[in-house]
Amino acid sequence: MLGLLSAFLLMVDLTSGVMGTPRLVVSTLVSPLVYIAEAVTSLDDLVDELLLAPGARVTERRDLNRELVALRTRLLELEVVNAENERLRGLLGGVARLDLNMVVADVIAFTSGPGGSMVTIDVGEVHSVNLGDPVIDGAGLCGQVVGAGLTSAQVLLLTDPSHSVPVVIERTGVQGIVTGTGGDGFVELEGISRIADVQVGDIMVTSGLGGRFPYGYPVAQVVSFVVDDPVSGMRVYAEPLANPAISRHLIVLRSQDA
Amino acid sequence: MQQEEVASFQFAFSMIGGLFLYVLAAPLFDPSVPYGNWLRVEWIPLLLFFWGQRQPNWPPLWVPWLCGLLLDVLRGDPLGLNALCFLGMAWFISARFEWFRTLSLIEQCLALFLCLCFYALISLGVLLFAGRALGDWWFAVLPPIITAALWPLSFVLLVRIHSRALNV
Repeated sequence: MLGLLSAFLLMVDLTSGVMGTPRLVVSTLVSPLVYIAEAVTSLDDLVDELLLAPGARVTERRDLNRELVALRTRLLELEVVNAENERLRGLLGGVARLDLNMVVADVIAFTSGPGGSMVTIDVGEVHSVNLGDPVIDGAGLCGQVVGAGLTSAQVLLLTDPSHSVPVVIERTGVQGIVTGTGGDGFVELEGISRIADVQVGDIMVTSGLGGRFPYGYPVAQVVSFVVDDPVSGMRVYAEPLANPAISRHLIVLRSQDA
Repeated sequence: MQQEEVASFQFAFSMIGGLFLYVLAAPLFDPSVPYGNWLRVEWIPLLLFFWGQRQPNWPPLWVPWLCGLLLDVLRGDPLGLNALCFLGMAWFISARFEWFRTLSLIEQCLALFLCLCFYALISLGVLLFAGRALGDWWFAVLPPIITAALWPLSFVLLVRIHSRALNV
């Protein structure tokens, strides 16, 4: 009986897209386990902190304060630049940047495997996180929310082959679509001409086309390209700038107010 | 409490423990490393391998089924994939428990490795059917190797815990 039910679930999930709600229900069921695991990991961090020498904590606090002051200064500069940017956009008749609000999330699991490259974060529908919301870390775009439970959400990473994002090369303004290549951790830029100006080291940022990802967030850095591909024009390979495995704290850019 | 009830409780508890260990270790799987996703222990199949031999009267099958379903969500696999595999594995091991018991510890490692390879093969087949890109699929042999290598130690520990609970 259970075998038949599993086979039925599997067939329905493979042939249609109607399993979103049951998946969310199961996701909510498993979330206590994920939270306990997260608490255990946090305990480990706490023990590490308690074992640190007082001198080291003082040094760390001083460094953090210094960094905070630097960041506040940078924020002030950015506010000025942002205001100027809005004014210029108005002059050019362009669309103003979306006013997105954000929520900080912790990575609680890498659910990546043969099924896809995803991470689970500890914010969900109760935090007004919705499907399609972009997710970034300190370095750039990580991916987008593809499943939102009550208190957790799944983020499809840039490197997944089913993930695409419209980008523009910052240096030259060449536009294209970045798609994941799978397990090797790289992305590929598609849809650009063979004579486009691309160099190793170029930074790609979100172009804002389609309205899903706001303009200007760093995405990836070009590491290599092949010009003589007769099928797709130029094949450009790039390394994502974001690394959720290292940062562990992500920011969800919410499209709806909390 | 009857011995069978104790065993059933232990079984259910250990399965939840297996799932917990997966969740606990999941952040360690660095997706930026090509084979990072595959450096994991398949705790639930390992526990099924133990309990299938240990309990001739198999404890409730819905427990491995539910664990499989939860793992489907955690890994982002098609819903029902791991549930079906764990159910099949539980049934097969319990049906052949007498044969498995006659094997030496090293032979059991090999048997577990083969079971896990079969499980990996089914998973990869279903994911391929689902149209998922399986770029580094050859690393799928890593979890069976790691899990089978851990079997002797796990077996000794589980036998000790099981016997102590039953006061045998």
